[in-house]
Amino acid sequence: MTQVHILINQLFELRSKLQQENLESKVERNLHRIFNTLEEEGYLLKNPIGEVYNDTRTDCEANIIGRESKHMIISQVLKPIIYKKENNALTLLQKAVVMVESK
Amino acid sequence: MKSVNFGIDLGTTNSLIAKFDSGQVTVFKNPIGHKETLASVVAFRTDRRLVGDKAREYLLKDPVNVFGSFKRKMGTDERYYVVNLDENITPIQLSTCVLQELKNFIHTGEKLEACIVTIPASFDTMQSNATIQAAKDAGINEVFILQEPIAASLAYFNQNKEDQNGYWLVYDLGGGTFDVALVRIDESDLKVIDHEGNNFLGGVDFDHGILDQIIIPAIIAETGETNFEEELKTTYGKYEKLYYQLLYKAEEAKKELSNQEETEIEFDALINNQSYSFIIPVTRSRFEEIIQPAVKQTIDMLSRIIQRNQLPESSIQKIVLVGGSTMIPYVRETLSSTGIALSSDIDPTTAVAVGAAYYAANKYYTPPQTFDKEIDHLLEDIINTTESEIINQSNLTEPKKQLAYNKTSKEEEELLLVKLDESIAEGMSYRIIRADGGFDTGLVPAKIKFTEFLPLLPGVINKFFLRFFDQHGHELSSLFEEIQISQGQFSISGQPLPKDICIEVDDPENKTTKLELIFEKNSILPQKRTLYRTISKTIKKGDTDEVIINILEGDRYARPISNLVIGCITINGKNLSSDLIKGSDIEIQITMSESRSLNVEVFLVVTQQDFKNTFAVAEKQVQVSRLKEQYFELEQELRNNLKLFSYEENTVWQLQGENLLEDLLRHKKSITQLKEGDKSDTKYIVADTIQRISQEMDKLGGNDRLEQLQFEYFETKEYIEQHLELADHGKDKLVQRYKKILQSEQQLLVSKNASTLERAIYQLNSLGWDIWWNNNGFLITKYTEFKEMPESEYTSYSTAKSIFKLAEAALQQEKFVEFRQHIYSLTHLVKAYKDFKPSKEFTGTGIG
Repeated sequence: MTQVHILINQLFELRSKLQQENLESKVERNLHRIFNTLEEEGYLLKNPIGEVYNDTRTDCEANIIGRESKHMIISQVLKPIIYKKENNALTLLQKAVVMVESK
Repeated sequence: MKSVNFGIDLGTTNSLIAKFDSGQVTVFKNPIGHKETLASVVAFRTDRRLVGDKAREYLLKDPVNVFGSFKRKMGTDERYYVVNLDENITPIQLSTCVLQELKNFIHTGEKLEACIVTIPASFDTMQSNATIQAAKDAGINEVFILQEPIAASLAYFNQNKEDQNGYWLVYDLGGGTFDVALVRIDESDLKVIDHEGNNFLGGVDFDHGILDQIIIPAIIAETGETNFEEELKTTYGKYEKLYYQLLYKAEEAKKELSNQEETEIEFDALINNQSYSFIIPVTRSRFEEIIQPAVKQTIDMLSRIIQRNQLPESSIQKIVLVGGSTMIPYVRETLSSTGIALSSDIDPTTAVAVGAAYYAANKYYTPPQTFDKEIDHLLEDIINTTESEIINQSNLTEPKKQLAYNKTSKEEEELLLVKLDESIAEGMSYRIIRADGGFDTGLVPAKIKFTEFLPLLPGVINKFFLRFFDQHGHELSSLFEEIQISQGQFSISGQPLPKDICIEVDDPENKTTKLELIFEKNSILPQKRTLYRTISKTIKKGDTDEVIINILEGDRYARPISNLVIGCITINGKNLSSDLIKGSDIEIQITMSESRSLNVEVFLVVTQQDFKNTFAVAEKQVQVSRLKEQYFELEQELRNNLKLFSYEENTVWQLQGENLLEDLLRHKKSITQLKEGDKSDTKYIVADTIQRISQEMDKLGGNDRLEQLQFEYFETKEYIEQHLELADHGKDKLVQRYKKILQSEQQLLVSKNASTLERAIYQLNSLGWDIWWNNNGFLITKYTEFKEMPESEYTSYSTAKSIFKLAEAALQQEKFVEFRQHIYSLTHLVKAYKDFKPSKEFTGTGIG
């Protein structure tokens, strides 16, 4: 894991905590700025919360909660997906660590 | 005969593949997720087969269709009943699946004809043969076996050229298993003498230890829920989500404690409908207490081997560390206490695969000759058949396929339809992988017609690889297809931008402004972007000085005045609630709707003020003070070019340039008299003229001028490269400046814009002069020149004389930095040098 990965994961965690405490709006501009800067460096962060999950999604490491079904969604994200953009193509740098549950 | 070169570590928990090439070993990475390791787990889903990390996710949830740790059952008559297939499957077949998956790691396109596969020291002949069978079933013709401890030793010896004769211990503590082996080396002959192991001891147990002994007790202490542990571990229980979260946190804490003395496990949990926030401190010493019994077990096994073989510790050369868990400091410290030296220079995760590849380098095989035979048969057939028969036959041997999909899309996923002809072979399967590694269908049985939804990443070209395999898992390379789908681009449903949209920012080095791209030509509307810049000049509250946010449409490589201003916000001192300080941040959010209306929102961080405006593109935006500056810049540039054309005796270009200057000067009077807030059309007329003349100036001389400027650019660049070494002071800064200029070289050459090239040449020339001004020899020559100048050339010769003395002293003492400073001071006193000073202060936009 590179230093940039660590930084992005920490920022992601920080934002999640602020969201939980309803404090995100106070630092929204600062966070937006930080993520924008990372984006300009080619690092793209994706929070897959609420997205549909199936076994073709190799962008996530999933922990399946309850019984498996055909209609599963990502209910919690411990680590986000990180992509690096180079020559207009994305490369997966980090898989998300997620919890998935039946809808 | 060919060298085998490939080595495979077919592990209980994880597997790897490596290759020896030109003295170096490369461990191949999984194209999915780019990890070197592949989880040795196979999942038979209802409609597809998965191998690796994705399969592992289903191990606990679907144990009747997902299998791991089958290596332990190799060589036995154990069968796994797969519910989804309604058939029994052997450990050999499961190992074959892993080996086939590892073949996909080879990105070099080579065919894996032969390889070394490693086996534990404990494997008997049946188990070894079963491993060979698995590899052969995976399509590998020549298979050689190597014991894991020997492979690890080889990895070590290839990095450390020391005396190897004697006894070595290979200590392999992985994620789920432990092995220790005693290896004897006698004149390059490696042999495993003894071994011990535990198939249920590894790093995963340490994670569970943290959960059971630290996290759960802390939760119980805080909540008072005495049966919490039982509830947490109940399958499909109410705390199942929390259980996985805590296990993940425990693993993270374990990793952190390898690098730091203490860490914190932090999480929120809802327990019995009450919300809790936990911060549980964990010290390395507490973690060590937890893993101590397990580590002791490994040391006991190691000691037993030593005692059984009646070897004193001093006769063991070193302990070679293998497996990710050997990175834990406590494991290393405990091993050190045995008094035997540790090897820590090899990567413990890849050591076995790397060692196998080194071994493979000296192992040879005869490549199969089937290809030649095939050609012979084919030639024979061709001789005996007619042309039409040949076509029919070729159709039979290679199933035709038809693909249907949208090459552009604005959706999050696109449907792929594949149709194969009826000659499709029984048992054929397909697999689709997205190039970034975020999507993998796994192996899916192919039908005559099938569909797949392909998920798309936004705003990029999504590449997918469609591969077909025969019933043995061998790829049918002739059916390979690369699918490209552009997401968010060139879609017929969205409106593409006809020209670049840019913002005008200051270019203080060249005392002008330049364009910075906001939205690229052909981007699909709507578009939104936030720019973060700094204010390049202080504007006091109440002053008339201003910051100009100019949004332009046109060519990003052209000079700002050649483009059309489509939106402009000016903020002057009268608009400010407090002073706007130079260097403070400005945030500019630019949005362009599908109907091309432009919205600009500006936020000044220091004053916490917002400024907004929405512009219709039909509405021209002209800012008088900036227009004046642009007018005079253009006039100056035009005059400079005319001087150059005259010097080069290029009369045609000179004549054309003079006409343009004449045209421009016709508006000089009106622009000089123009006032801010003027209601007439004058500012629009002048803006149009400037834009037109600027564009025409760039076109002057056409391709001939561009070629000439490109030649001049490369010539100047070469000159800089040759002379950079001559700088005696501040070389690093000069090199950085040079690199910065080169960064935009590609854009520069693509732009085919004369003024952009001229600007780059100017920057290089200016750098060239700075190199000389940092060269001691040049400074001495300059000093001599100054000393020989007549008094009349100086503004104050008496001051110059006193500087001469100081410079002389500095030179004698070889204080060159001080000497250079004196030369700089002298330039300020020479009348001729005064002309080089900027004639006026550059105002610009105020955005840096």
